[in-house]
Amino acid sequence: MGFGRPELKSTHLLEIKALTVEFPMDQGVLRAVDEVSLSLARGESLGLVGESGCGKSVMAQSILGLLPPPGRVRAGEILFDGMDLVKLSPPELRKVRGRRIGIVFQEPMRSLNPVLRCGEQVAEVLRAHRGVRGGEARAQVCAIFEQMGFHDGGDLYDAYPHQLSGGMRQRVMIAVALACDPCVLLADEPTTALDVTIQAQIISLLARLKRARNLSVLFISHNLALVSEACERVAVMYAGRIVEVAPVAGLFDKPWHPYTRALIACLPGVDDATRPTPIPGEVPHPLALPGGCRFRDRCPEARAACGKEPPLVEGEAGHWVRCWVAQEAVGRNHDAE
Amino acid sequence: MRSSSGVVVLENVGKTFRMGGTPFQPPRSVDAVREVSLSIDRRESLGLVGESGSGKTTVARIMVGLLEPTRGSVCFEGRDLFSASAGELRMLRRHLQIVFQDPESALDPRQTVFQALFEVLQVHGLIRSGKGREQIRSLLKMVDIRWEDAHRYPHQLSGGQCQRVGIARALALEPSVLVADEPVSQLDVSTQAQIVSLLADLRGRLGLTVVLIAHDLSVVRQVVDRVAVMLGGWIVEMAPTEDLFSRPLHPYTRTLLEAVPRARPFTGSFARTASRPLGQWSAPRSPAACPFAPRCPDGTSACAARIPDLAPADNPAHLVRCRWQ
Ligand SMILES: Nc1ncnc2c1ncn2[C@@H]1O[C@H](COP(=O)(O)OP(=O)(O)O)[C@@H](O)[C@H]1O
Ligand SMILES: Nc1ncnc2c1ncn2[C@@H]1O[C@H](COP(=O)(O)OP(=O)(O)O)[C@@H](O)[C@H]1O
Ligand code: SF4
Ligand SMILES: [Mg+2]
Ligand SMILES: [Mg+2]
Repeated sequence: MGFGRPELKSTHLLEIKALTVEFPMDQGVLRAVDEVSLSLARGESLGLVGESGCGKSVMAQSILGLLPPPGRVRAGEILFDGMDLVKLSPPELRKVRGRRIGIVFQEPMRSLNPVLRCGEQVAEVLRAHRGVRGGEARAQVCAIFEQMGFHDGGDLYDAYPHQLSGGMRQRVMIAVALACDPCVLLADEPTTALDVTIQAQIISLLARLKRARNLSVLFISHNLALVSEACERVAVMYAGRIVEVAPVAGLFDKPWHPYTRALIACLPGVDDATRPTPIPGEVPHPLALPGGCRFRDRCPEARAACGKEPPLVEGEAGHWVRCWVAQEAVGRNHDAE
Repeated sequence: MRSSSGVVVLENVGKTFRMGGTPFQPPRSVDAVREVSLSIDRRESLGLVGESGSGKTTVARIMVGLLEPTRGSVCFEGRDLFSASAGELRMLRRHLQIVFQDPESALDPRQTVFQALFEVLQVHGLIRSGKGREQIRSLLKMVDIRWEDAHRYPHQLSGGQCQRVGIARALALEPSVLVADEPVSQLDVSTQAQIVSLLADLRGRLGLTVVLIAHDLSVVRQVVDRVAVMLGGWIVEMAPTEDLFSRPLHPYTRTLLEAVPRARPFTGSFARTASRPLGQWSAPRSPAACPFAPRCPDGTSACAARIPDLAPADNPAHLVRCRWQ
């Protein structure tokens, strides 16, 4: 779209450094995100995967300053265009949110206002961040809708959210998120509540918009297959920690972490009759983490060394892993070369 | 059609919901199920798959006797559910249990797991004297819930655990048929795999007849014997699982198959999904139209006028409703 985007200073659009997020609770301090570092380049799509309860949503909420109380960023930095978002005041953060960083959540019904026509909700964003008003706003909103593949933007403008299907509502949410031409889109399980067919449409819409606008996308999902179709790079999160980061091809070629392999093995294969292998047990609660490697209780490879928590190390350029056994295997391969 | 010797037999079942008709709302009706005939064999496992609104839940509720169809009949072991007396229906319904989609809201938030199971057993007079605790222990064991968790409340359990408790509650009545209505749609992939394989194991161990409902074909692929694909209140294709996946005949089935995300590295092209038209399609004009006609690449005016019959295609067990097959 024709809006100029303010120029950005660093090569990494978004850089998260050693972020730790905690919820002080009666039973103790719940650390949902533990020293997570991640970066997102301009025009890149990064997937964040893990089972539910791993801390993916808390990550997204802390980037946007939307942590529900009593959550707070305990340590770390979230650098965006030279600013540390952690240090911004709520009004300053509001300017970034929506205007420069767009958000799409799992449940559009919760994020949309039920008594406002869909078009108005998009126009509202244009008004708040750009001062666009009246007929001009309506025209711009209809243009956005049409760009998103709606044949008649006007009809959609006048519809209320409850009159739409889940997939249509999610598209309206995407229009709200992208109305101000942000440079980063955070999508937290945007298709999890939708049918597979609608999911496929939303994913291809996001991909098209990403390319057309050179957007950087942080795509959060519990489904590694979906992430592999939508993203160039993947970070695997387990119990508040990043356990593996790699380009998608590298991750499927050489899934180093036993958890990554388990996530691949539990995918339902539609093209063959092999039963998916479930991962035994559940993600440990942040208040009841096992000592040492957090995946230890569920890991088929666990051994004595795993009683100490492994560090995140770079085994190959751009391919990081947090596992003693993987680290050793990669080291051996390097020695052999 | 297969022989009607099945344990559950639906014949020409249809359901029309009527709404409105108040001074403020004009009467309106929705044909949730158009015409479904289905015979499920004892110990068979059937997958019922289709997008939301296709009528899966309505069929499920009719099948277990919770909802009376507008047209057609439902038989369980040869007895017609809806011509039975109220008392007889209650008796028959015990053998037909259903597990719902949203695991947490299907449980009473004020009851612990133990209390929930105890109540079900008690209401149906199934507690063997002094054995209640044992019975509950073995039910929980069956669904892999630890005994320590028996005294927890639903909000203290994960989604997967709630779904296991829901299954245990259904099994408490020792049903012969278990209908699971999208039991995994709200769970993450790893938990989906756990629940689906639990259902498959239970079926083997208890000799259950299982109907597994999903909107995603990949969920049922490895665990059912036969798949029925629903769209717009019709079964548009039905076949033994291997036939359906190796030779999907209805264009809607192919759309569903294509939509499943594959574990394959990003190419940036999105050739697969980008080729499909976006969203929005209007309801078919004629009520008898093929519900896929507005989206179908091969649709003709004949398709928009009338949906063809469900007819055998390449083999007698592979049925499809499409004039090109
Ligand atoms: N508002 C909150 N209060 C207390 N704990 C929370 C809150 N939100 C999330 N958590 C905890 O933080 C952990 C990570 O949650 P979340 O980020 O939602 O996981 P994911 O999105 O990966 O499923 C979980 O253990 C969850 O219980
Ligand atoms: N109690 C009801 N009253 C009115 N309409 C209903 C009712 N239950 C379902 N429907 C309608 O019937 C159609 C089929 O619904 P349903 O059986 O729930 O489909 P599915 O389970 O495949 O999503 C939908 O259009 C739905 O809105
Ligand atoms: S460090 Fe040990 S327990 Fe942890 S993932 Fe690696 S092998 Fe498994
Ligand atoms: Mg989440
Ligand atoms: Mg349903």
